[in-house]
Amino acid sequence: MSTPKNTEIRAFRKLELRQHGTAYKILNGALKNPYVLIAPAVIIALFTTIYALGYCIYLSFMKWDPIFGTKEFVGLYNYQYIFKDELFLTSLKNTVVFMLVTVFVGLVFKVLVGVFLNKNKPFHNLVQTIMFSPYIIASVAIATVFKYMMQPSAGVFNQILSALHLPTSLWYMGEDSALMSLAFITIWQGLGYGVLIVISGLRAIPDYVYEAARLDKSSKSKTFFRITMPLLSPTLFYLLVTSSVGAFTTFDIVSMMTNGGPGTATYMLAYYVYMQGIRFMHYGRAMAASVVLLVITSTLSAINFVVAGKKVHYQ
Amino acid sequence: MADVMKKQPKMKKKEPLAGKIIECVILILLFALFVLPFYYMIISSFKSTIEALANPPIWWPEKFLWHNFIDAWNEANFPKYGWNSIVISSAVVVTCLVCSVPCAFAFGRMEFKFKKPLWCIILSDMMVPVQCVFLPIFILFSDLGWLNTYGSMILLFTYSGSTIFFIRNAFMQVNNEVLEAARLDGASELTVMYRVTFPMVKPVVVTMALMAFLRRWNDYFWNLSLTTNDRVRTLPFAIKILNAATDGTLPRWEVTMAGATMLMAPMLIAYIFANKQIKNAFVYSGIK
Repeated sequence: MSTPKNTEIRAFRKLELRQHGTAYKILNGALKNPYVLIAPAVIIALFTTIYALGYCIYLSFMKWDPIFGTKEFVGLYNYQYIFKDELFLTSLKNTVVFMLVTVFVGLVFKVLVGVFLNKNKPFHNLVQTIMFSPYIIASVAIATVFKYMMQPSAGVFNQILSALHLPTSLWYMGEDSALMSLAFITIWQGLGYGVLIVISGLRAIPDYVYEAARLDKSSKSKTFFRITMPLLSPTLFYLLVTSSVGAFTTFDIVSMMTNGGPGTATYMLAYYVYMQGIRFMHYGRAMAASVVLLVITSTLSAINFVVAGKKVHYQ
Repeated sequence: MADVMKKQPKMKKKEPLAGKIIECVILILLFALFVLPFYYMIISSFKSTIEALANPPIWWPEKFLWHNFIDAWNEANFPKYGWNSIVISSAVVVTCLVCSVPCAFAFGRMEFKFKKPLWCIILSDMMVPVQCVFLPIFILFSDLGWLNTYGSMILLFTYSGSTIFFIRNAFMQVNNEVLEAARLDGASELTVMYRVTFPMVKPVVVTMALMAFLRRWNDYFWNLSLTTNDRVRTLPFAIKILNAATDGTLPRWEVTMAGATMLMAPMLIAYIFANKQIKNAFVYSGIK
């Protein structure tokens, strides 16, 4: 087949243009106008984030009773209230503990398993593929399955533990173990994603770096800590920040498994905001608590942005 | 260099047997850790009520009871929620792309006034947790009379800052010379976009469509906070209903597990067939 000449293509394009009607011309004009193109996204963003965020901060200074419809300005009262509220302080503490455990323990496992599975052998790849699957499944369903398996009396977890002659646990029903049970599930669910990212980070390190290390007779551990880890650090940092923001906004598994219990052992910030806002209708308190959450997560994101800007090359 | 290449296979052969055994054990443990919950969920959904509550737990039921699935289907209003899930998730994919692709195109390939501040508005939702905005949106939607409507549930997932961000990056990587060549050939902007630019960013767009679907399909928080009746609730809420029933007087774990199996099934089946593409999608969105 011979390639058509330029003149032929031009004639064809002109014909094509003429065949389309007015709708085509309007569309074609609109495509040249950037404001038309971005309008839908900007309008929705203005309402669902900018306006909503403004309203959130405004509400945090108000005392609003939705049942009687009274609304009055109370200044910083809501903030004073929540910082004296035992439940809020508990949920803040729980969230920080939960975040530290899931992020750091999670990261150690992600790196270890990532390095371990990065071999491109069939069974290694199979394990890695299976490991990733929980990440795309609704955490609601995962929480339910673990709720069943972690039952203290008839649960699989305790059965396995006692078969291995290890001490059993009350899991999500025990005051001391509930938060750690949720952390376990969160780490389990996120491990596959972390491993995937770590492996792709490892594969991005060029071979000649390792070649050079081998020529210099560098030991395995030295190569790992002096070459692999520094080159992997942007990837790890990305995982660190996204998982800590995720940990601060954990809601699904708390709502599915424990409802904050037993007692207040698993009450977390996101759950506190939800309960105050939707259940108890204390809009002001809920929003004040959510502003605290916003300050924490946006600090984390800002750190990410500054550090990533230095280390990672965005295109 | 050649010396090193020769040495390499020898070093591999020298790997001690003990190391290999340890490697195998770790692999099997990892495999078990991630397969067992799924296995146990599926097996439990065939148990009888007595078997589901048995102590010690049972790993293989005597008889496979299919009616658990029918019970879950009826008890948690699965047809309604499932229909909602499919309709809303598919609609979100369409609206999300219609909203994001042109926007990303404008930010990636055009120059205009107020580009920076507008870009900040677009990215704003990446910084704001949903817990901050759900109540204002709830109030806004209830003032507008939009609660419990398909439109409102679709609208919320139509715009996503990260989606636009990744598609814009893809547009920015498109080679300018190719576009110029097409324009010189007399192609209109629309033709250039659909015939030249779009095929080049297609992989990223497909990825983002998949992510939009997943986000909506798995969503639970908006289901819970932005609906007051069953009209537009989706599948994760069905699991909540089954789960809540287990807190009451009649725990029916086998039915709950059947429900969880049905919620996971579409994602798991899709993942079995397209695991490479799905994993690549997540790698892309994580690294770039």
